[in-house]
Amino acid sequence: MLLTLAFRNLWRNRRRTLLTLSAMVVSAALLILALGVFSGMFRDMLASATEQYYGHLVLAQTEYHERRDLFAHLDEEVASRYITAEETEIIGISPRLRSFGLISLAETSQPVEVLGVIPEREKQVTSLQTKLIAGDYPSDAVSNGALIGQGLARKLKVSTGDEMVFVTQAADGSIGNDLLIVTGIFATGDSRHDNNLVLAPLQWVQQVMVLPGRIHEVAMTLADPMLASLAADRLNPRLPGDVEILDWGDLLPEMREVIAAYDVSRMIIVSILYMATGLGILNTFFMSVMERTREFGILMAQGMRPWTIRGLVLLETCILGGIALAIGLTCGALMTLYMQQVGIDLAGYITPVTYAGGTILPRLHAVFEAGNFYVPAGMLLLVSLIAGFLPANRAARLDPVQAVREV
Amino acid sequence: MDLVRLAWKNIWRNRRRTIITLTAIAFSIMLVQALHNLSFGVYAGMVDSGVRAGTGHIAVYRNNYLESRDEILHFRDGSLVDDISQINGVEQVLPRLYIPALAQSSRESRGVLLIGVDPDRERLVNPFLKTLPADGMIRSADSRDAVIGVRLLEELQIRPGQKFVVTAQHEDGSLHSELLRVRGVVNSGMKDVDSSLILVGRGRAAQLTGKSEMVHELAVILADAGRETEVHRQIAAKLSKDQDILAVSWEEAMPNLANAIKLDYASQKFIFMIILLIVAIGVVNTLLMSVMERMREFGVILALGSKPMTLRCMIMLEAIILGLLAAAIGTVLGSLATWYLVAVGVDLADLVPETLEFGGVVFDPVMRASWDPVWMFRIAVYVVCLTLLAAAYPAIKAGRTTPVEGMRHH
Repeated sequence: MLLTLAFRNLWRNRRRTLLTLSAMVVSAALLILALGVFSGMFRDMLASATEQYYGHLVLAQTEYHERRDLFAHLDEEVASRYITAEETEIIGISPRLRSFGLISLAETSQPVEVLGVIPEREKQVTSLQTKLIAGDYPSDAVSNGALIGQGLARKLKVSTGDEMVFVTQAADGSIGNDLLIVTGIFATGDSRHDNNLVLAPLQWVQQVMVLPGRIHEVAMTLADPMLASLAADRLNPRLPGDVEILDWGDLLPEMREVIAAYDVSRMIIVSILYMATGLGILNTFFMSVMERTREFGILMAQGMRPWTIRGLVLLETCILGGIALAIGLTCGALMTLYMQQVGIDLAGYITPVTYAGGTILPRLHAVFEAGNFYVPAGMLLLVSLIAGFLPANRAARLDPVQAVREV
Repeated sequence: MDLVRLAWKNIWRNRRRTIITLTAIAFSIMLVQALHNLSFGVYAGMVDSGVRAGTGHIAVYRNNYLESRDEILHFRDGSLVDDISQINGVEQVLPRLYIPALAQSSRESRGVLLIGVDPDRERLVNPFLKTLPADGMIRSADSRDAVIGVRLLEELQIRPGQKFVVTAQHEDGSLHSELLRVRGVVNSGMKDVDSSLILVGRGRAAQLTGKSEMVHELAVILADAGRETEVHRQIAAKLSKDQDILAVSWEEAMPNLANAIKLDYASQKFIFMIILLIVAIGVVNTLLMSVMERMREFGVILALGSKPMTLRCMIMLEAIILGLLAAAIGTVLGSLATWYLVAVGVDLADLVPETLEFGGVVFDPVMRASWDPVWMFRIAVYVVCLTLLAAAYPAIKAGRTTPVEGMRHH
C-alpha cells in the first residue's frame, strides 16, 4: 500500500520528478563513463609495463632486479624444475637473458637493452608481436634476427633487413660484439621500450655474452594479472633460497600503490559529484513535502503514525534513486561499452605520458570494472536516502492540527 | 527598477528553496575554483622542477635534433650562452652535449646517455644536483669527475670515488674510451633517471667524441615562467643569424610533461562539466517550480495589462540575481578554499608512493594551490550565463500563459 502511495506521489508533479531524475541519471551515467575511462588508462599503464616487458611474474636470483647483475644467471631449464604443468593459471613462460650495450649502424650508436628470448615462448608473455609496424617477429629460422623499437629504428635510421653491430661486455671480461639483422620494428607508444628495447634470439645473446645455456630470468603471464601476488606467494616456498618469484607489484611498487590509491580518488570524485546532485534531490523533496503539508496533516489526523509518514517520504526518494540507478547504470554501461569497443584516439593531440613506471596511451578507452559500477550506485542510493531524510523528518514532525489548517 | 525589486522579492518568497539552490550553485563554484587552483599550483610546481632538471623553459637546438636525436646536429655555442644570459628575465643558460655511450665497470656494462655539462651553471639550477655535498660535484669541465644515478651506480657495482670507463663513438667513426671517476651520486626517485644519468664536464665529453666547443642543447631557465613568450621572442631574434638553430618551448621539448598535464587537466575538465550540468538541471528545476507555482499570479498580472515580455524579463532577472548571488558567494568560498590550499595544501604522503613519477617529474606529495584569478572570474561568469540559459525555458513558459489560463491554474 505504502509503496503504491509513494509511487503515485512521485508522479503527481511529473515535470519536477523527471528533472530531478535526469540530474541523478546524468551524474551516475557520466560518472560511470569517466571511471571506466580512468580504469582504461590504468589498464593501459599496467599493460605497458607487464605485457610489453616484464610479464606478470618474474623468476630470477634474489636481488637480480635491484642490480641486474650480469653474473646472477640461472640454468636455462630452471622454470621446468619449479613450475609444474599443474599451475594452470600461468599461461606463458619465457626464459630470458638480458644484456646492456651499445648498438650502432654507420656513425650513429644508441644505448640499448637486449633481451635474448625464444621467440615462440616470448610471444606467450609479451604482446610485441601485435605491435609490429614493419617486418616480422624474429623466428627460429634466423639465428641473429632482432626486433627493435620504432624510436630506436628512427634514431639509427635502420629498416628491416639492415645489419647493426651490438657491443657489450661479456661474462668472461672480454668485449663481445656481433651482427644483428633487423627483422621487425614494433611501436608500443611507450618511449622507453620504443627507444631502448631489442629482442634477439636467446642463443645469439648467450653466445655474445659467453653464457651458454644460461638465462637471467623467467617471465611468466597469468590469466588474471590481479592475482599475481597470490600466485607469487604460493610458488615462492617451493623455490630454493637464492631464487625468487616477484610479481609485477614488486617490480613496480609505485604502480601498485597508484592503483591502490585509485580506490581512494574514485571515492573522492564520486562524493564531490554527488554532493551537488544530493542538494538537488534535497531541494525537490523539501518542495514536495511542503506542498503536501495539509495532506500529511489529514493522514496523521486519520491515525497514520509519524514513522509511517517518514517511511513514505523516504520510500519516495528510494524509488526515485532506484529508477535513476537503473537508467543511470544502463546508460553508463552502454557508454562504457561504446568507449570500450570504439574509444577515442587522441594521438593527434597528445603523445603517450609516463606515469608511475608505466605509460598512458593517447587514447580514451574504457574498461569494465565492477567497482566503477557499484561505488557510484551505492553512493547514489546513500545520497538519495540522506537527501530524503531531512524532508522526511520534517513531514513526520508536523502537528496534525496546524498542518490541516495550512493552505 | 521596479522589476528588479519585484524579482528580488520573488526570490525570497520561498526562502528555503532559494537557499538550497544557492548553496548547490555556490558549492559547485567553490569546488570547481578550488580544484582548478589546486591543479594550477601542482602543474606549476611540476613544470618548474621539470624544466630545471630537463630542457629549461626554452631550449635551443639545431635543426630537428629534438626529434631525431641525431648526434651530428650539434652547434658551436660561442657567445650564445652569454648573449642569452643577458636577456632580461633569464636566470641561467645551460649548455649540454648528449652522447650515447657504454659505461663499463670491471663487472658490468650499461648503455647510457652521457651528458656533458657546464658544472658550475648546472649546479645552480638542476634540482638533482642541489642536494649533492660540496665535494660531490664535478670540479671542472675538463676533469674526469662524473655524477651518476644511484641505481646505475649499484648496477655497475661501483662506489663513489671508484673508476669506470665510458665508450662512445668518436666523430671519426672509431670507438673512443675515457676513464671517469664517480664524484657524486644522484638519487632523484625516478627509476629512469637514476638508472641512466651520467653527468660529466663538457670539456671531457667533447674529448670523448671530438666535438670540442660544441653543444646539442642550450637549456634556458627563466626567473619568471610567466615571461616565456617574451623571452622566447628575444632569444629567437638572437638566433636568426643562423637559420638552422631554433628555440623551442618546454611544451615541445618535453612533450611527456606537457601531455601529462594536458591529460590530467582534460579529465578534470570532464568532471567540472558534469558538475556544471547538474547545477544547470537544478536551476531549471527550481525556476520551473517557482514559475508553475505562480501561474495564477501571472494570470492576474497579465490580466492587469502587463506584457508577456515583462513577465519573461522578470523571470530572467530572478535567474540573473540568483546566478550573481551564487557566483559571489561561490567565489568568496572558492577564495577561502584556495587560500587554505595555498597556505596549508593537501598532504597525500599517506596515499601516494614517496617517489611517484608523473610525466617525467617526481610528484610532490604535498599539493599546494596557486591563485588563478582570471580563471576564477571566468568560471563565475560561466555560471551566471548557465543560470540564464537554464532560465530560458521557465521564462518562455511563463510568457506563454494567457490571463484566463493562468488564473484558472491552481
